[in-house]
Amino acid sequence: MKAMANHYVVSAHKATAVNACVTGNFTSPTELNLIVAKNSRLEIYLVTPEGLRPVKEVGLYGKIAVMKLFRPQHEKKDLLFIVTIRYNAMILECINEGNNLEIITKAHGNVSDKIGKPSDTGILAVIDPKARVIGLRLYDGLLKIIPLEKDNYELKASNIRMDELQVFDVEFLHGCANPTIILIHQDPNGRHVKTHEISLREKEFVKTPWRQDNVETEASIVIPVPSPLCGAIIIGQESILYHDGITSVAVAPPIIKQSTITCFAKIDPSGYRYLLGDMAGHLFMLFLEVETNADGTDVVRDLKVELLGEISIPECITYLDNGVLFIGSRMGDSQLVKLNIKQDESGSYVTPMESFTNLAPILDMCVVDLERQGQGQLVTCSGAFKEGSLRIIRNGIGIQEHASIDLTGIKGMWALNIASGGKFDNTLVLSFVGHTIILSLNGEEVEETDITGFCADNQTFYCGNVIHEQIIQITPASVRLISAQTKNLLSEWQPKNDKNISVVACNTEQIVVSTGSKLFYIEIHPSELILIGQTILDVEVACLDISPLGEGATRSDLVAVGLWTDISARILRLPDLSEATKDNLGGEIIPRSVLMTAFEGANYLLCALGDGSMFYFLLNKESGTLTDKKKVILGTQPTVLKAFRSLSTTNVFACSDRPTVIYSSNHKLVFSNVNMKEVNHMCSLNAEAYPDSLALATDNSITIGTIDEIQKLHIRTVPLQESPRRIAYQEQSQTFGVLSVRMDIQDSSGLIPSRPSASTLAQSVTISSSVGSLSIGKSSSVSAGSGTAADHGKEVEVHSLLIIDQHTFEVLHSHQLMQQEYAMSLISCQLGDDNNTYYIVGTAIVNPDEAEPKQGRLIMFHWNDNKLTPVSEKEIKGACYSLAEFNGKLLASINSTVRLFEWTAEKELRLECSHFNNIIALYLKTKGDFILVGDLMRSMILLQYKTMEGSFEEISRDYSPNWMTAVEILDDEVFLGAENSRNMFVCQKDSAATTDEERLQMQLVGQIYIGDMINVLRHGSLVMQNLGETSTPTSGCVLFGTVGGAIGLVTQIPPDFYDFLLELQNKLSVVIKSVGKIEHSFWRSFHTDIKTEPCEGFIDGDLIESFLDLSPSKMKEVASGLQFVGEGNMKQECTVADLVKIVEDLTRIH
Amino acid sequence: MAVAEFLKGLPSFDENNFTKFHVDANNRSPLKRPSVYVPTKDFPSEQVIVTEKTNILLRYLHHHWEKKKKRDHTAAEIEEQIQVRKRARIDYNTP
Repeated sequence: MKAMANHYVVSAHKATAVNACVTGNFTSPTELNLIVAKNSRLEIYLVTPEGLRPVKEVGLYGKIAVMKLFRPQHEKKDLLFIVTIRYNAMILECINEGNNLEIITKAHGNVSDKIGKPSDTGILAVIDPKARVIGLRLYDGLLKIIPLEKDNYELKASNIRMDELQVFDVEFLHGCANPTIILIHQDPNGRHVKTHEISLREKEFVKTPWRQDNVETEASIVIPVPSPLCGAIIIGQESILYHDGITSVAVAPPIIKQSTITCFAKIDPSGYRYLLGDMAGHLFMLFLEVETNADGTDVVRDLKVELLGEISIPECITYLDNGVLFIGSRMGDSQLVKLNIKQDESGSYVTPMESFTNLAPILDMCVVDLERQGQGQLVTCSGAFKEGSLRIIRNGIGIQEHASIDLTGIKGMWALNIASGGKFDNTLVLSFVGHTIILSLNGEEVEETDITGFCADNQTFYCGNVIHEQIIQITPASVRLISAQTKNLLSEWQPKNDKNISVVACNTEQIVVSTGSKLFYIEIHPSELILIGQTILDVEVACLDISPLGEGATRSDLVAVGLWTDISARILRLPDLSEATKDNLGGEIIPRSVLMTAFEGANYLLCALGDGSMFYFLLNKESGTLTDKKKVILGTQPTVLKAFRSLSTTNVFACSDRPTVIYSSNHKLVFSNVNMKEVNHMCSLNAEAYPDSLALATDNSITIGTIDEIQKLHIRTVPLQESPRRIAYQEQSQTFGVLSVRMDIQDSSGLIPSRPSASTLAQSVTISSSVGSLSIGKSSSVSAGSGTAADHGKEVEVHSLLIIDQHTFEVLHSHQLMQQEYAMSLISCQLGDDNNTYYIVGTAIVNPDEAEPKQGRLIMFHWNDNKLTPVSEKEIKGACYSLAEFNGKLLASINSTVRLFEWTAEKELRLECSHFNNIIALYLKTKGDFILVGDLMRSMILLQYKTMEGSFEEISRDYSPNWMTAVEILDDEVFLGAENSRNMFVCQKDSAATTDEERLQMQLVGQIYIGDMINVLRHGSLVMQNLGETSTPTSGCVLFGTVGGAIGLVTQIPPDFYDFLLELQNKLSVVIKSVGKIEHSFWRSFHTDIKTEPCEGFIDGDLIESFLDLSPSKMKEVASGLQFVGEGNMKQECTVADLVKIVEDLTRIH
Repeated sequence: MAVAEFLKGLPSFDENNFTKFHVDANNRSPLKRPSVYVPTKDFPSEQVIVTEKTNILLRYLHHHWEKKKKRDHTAAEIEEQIQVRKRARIDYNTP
């Protein structure tokens, strides 16, 4: 039987690394925009007095390589020129009429050549300052020009041969009669600067106006200087040169030597000031000092460079307005920063204003369920160098905070509409122990007020608007009925026996009140409270509810009661308070909150307990019976349930230490986390300034906010200030192990850390003895000890194992490896009969003289009692790229080999068997007796461990020359691989094949271009597994993390569902137009240097999900003619509603 | 010159921009994401970028051949002229 080989791939979190950013007038001549390119998407922002306002996110079918704004002559606004890494070029214009924004593709085309060597320095694209021509350096030795002729339908791109093969940067010079490029190139003699004037008619270089041979050997950036100065600035490693063909000025400011300048931004249109950013995150200003010649022209006399301060490691910088810059980063969070004339205390002229979360690059990640909730969280190794961090990513609903008031000790909270004359709430009642505060909401103003009929010197149990324009306030002493118009007390009810009221529930017409085990039922009439019924229960009441069930209902025929002592939930009938149902919940935890509610027409009783768990039942409204009892754990503290309406559906907010929103989807309850640490109380609030909002009380404040429409991922950052590479979770010790790298500077006294970071700031530090069992540097002439004078100032990588607390994310311990020893792999596991769980680190001794490492270690650590004990150490003959636990043994890939080690009773690792047929075995995944190996350049191979023989057998291999970046086993037959041209593919083992030869060959059954390089594949899910079941027939879930900071997932789908989605995808690719006019089929086709093949076996979930963003008429267009297999296995027409439901279900798998 | 001098008079497109920027106590940016643009209207491209298919070497040879032809042509003409002149001279020298 053929295994299922149809897959659905979708982004759960889109790429966040910034490739490029530009500022200009894109959406209109009068609007200033920031445009940020993140992998294959553009984000368009408007610069406003309040800051950046998001305008649109535009997806392209290609990863953006270059993005430039330019203004054709006689135009009032800018156009956007983009080249993708697969050589699709486009010119985009924004048309913005009213609220209707359209991005028009003015010109498009593929500019690739059939032959040519793609340049090592990437794609360079430049536009002539007068917008006469675009220059592209795509392949070595060729400059492609696209003359921007307005009147021709065809824009003809032609190649010009360049003598300069190795070009590092190219720009157009300003103030030239004909378009003239300037470039930095390298030949055996060094790097040189050269200019070429282009004849657009002959499509040739016609002359070289000037050149400067032998500039700095590391010169890599050209900055063209605008008129009137003209000329160009050449940025090197240590020096900066200005040259205009006649004058040349060079400076070598010591402050720039520490790192390498990688990006710049022009500040003034006249080009006197520039911002420079380096790889260490320094922001410099470069200033051209000029003097005026006798003839009145300005010439550059000097260059001044000043350090302004520290920023995120920049990929690109752009000047926005009034001293504010956008810093685009690939390694860390992007930033909005402001330049100040005055220095701050730390001597910096830069103030961060806002930061934009970026997960990139994701080096490794693990899926953990820290709270044992059945919902996975991702912990990623994100960022690099000083931006290195762990990111904790979890799914949930976001609350967008609009206002917040500092107040402590809130015991209850209600919104009221008091004589407002409208539908808006204008009052917030806050209850405290012993008193009540009333806040009036006047626009955004909040002030304390009094209401005559209110009792303010007692705690309030309930408060709300009720029928006949009245208000109810219930305190421990009495039930008070107040006129909403006159605010006077109309009626008051007190329990007869002078007992205090303990628990209450109320709707707009009815009240239930209990004093201990006595229960009273009261109805609300005009100016009157009438006691209708009372009863005595056998035990004390813990919680009550009288919520009306059903659309538009204002009364309830049932009361829900939770009881002390016997720990039961009961349904009582009204008005006589007779018992309809009793459910003994079991256990010893008291119910704290009951709620009757209707979701999607079905009635439920929810009953939350004091330990954060919750029972839920189906409730029969007529008979009052409870069925289908289920239990879920929402938090760890007593939980309060409150119903609220959002987007015309009923939701329930569970207030606890882990606030949760409960809603229904496809008649299944979904429990979605909220991105707040804790919520004690909440109420709906529909005030004029805060429409459709929620008020949420925490221990010391009230937050007013709105709730997100959809689930999204919430990200918490744990900065490490050094590069995390690998992560492993150890449940037994409640810790994470992290392999991390910092940069030290070689000094006469040894290595000095370049900045404080996780490994130097750890609570305790140990260091691997350099003596150890290995003699390092045997084959090296360089001694590993204190460096020679020549090495001073050299950056040296120092690798450590960090032990991090899973709750606080504090670095408990740091173990530093030997000099020249690189930490390569890490797992946490148990081996053999040993009950201890160990962290095992695989290392490599890296010697710059060797082509590949010849030595390494397997080191086993035991973290116990806040101490890290090295348990065992095994010398290996190479780099240990990957480790896995395998049937109680340790599996390691070491250079080209896969080796299995046994953990002996003597606590030694003993080699059992090896497999040799690889180039470099980079990745290992295991399942049962099977081992999947990902090779550097020979795709994947499946091994089987033969227990009897104690050896490996090669079962099957993919013979495609794929350079792997990650592998994963999907099931016994199907294997997922990711390779370095940003593709993903699926291979299948063919067990049923008739010949051995066929069996040995894996079959390619699926392939797709992802557009981002996948670094890690892990089984796991970000959504609740056991609760939010959906109707979509997906099975299994593998998460992936990318270089661009994206998180995606791959899941298997059955063939008929695949066919259905494929048809939907094909329809969507027609209805949804591609910006830049790149075909969807081109975008997803498997593409490497050697082949391009159509996407197969995969559904592009990102396109499928965009169905939900379509207008109703377009949805209808897509749905028409679609058929799906409905009830009774019959094919039926797919309606828009069916399709919305199917696609919404698909969005819920992430 | 002091850094403060460098930082004076930074360009301004609209002097109000960023003046009302609200600094959150936690430096936390509000969850704001642009809405996704899903184009369904078809706008035909005004222009199409086409890559010249001619091989760069062929174009070079062609170009030079044209040039050479031109040059040969002129050279021939000159030669002709010279010949004419020579002939004339021959004529002239002919008794």
